[in-house]
Amino acid sequence: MRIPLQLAVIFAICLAGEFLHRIVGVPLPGNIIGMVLLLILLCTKVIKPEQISGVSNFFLKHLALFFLPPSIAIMAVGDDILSKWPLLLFLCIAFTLITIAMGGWVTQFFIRRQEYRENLALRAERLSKRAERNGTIGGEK
Amino acid sequence: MNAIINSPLFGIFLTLVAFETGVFISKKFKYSFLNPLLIGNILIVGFLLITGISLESYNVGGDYISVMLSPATVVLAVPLYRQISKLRQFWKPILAGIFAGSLTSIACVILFSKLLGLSNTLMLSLLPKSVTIPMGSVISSQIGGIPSVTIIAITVTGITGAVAAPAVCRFCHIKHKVAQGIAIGTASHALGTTRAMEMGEVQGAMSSLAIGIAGLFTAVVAPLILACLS
Repeated sequence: MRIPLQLAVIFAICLAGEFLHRIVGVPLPGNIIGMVLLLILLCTKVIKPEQISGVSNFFLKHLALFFLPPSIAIMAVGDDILSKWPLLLFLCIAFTLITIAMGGWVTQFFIRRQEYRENLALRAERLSKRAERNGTIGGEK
Repeated sequence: MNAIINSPLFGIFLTLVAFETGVFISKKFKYSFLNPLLIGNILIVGFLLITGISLESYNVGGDYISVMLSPATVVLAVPLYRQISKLRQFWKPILAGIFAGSLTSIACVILFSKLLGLSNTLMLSLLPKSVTIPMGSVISSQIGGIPSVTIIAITVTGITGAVAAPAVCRFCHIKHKVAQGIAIGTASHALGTTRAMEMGEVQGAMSSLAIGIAGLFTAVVAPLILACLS
């Protein structure tokens, strides 16, 4: 697809997300609904990833740029809060590190447990098959 | 001169130049705390303060770029789609990890705000700090925080995640790619995801997935916890 058409598709999805949020009242921001909509369109093969790759690669590659203007809102923050900035900065950084560690540990713990169980199940299946085979051989004797 | 400053072209140009300068500096010096977004922010704020140009004038153009956050979030579905088999395989651990991470973030803010005696408004503003900007600012105003403070907290959180995520994963022995991605996305939304994508496609996809679910979870759980506390 040509780039303008790709953009039109992505913006149509954004608009649909906004519509579902503002008019229908889905309690999620429009862009997150849009992400889910695009995922559904990709999974149902209505859109192929290559068809929108020009636009999607551009946005994915330069994602941080679009966060720059909102971050300038720091200028609008009141003095009473700005005066506490060393403490707040420290807290934000510390909490983020703790959150990464916690989220990672819990995910990894449950992944390992699932993999362990799947391995056990696999092994039990193999053992039972082997036992069955041995049984039939034994029977023929 | 006012006509120039209040033209959208001014804010857009300033943003692009500041960001590209940030990218140039961070590539040149290779210290990971020299994040392009951080440098760009300092450059723009410094420029506006020195010249006395108001935030409103900057936002005339800046808003055009902020609008692009929406399509940029939507296309996060593409890496997610490529890794959909991982999601199918590990959906239970993934949900558990995202819930645990989001709860940790909320609990930390409430606990330390009470311990350090921070004002209630400040605590509420910090609460959705691990959520992506479009969701976090909405959650903040809903629970009674100040959205502009929330946006700053979200930005700091995002930069921290983007800078420190690989080190935290190494330090805490988080080795599984899915777990790394989920941890980064849950804690530091789309900004952390930019780093997760550099770590690998699996990490990037899992991180994008975690953004939406962590945001949703925080939006639902934060008001409930606050209601229980008060």
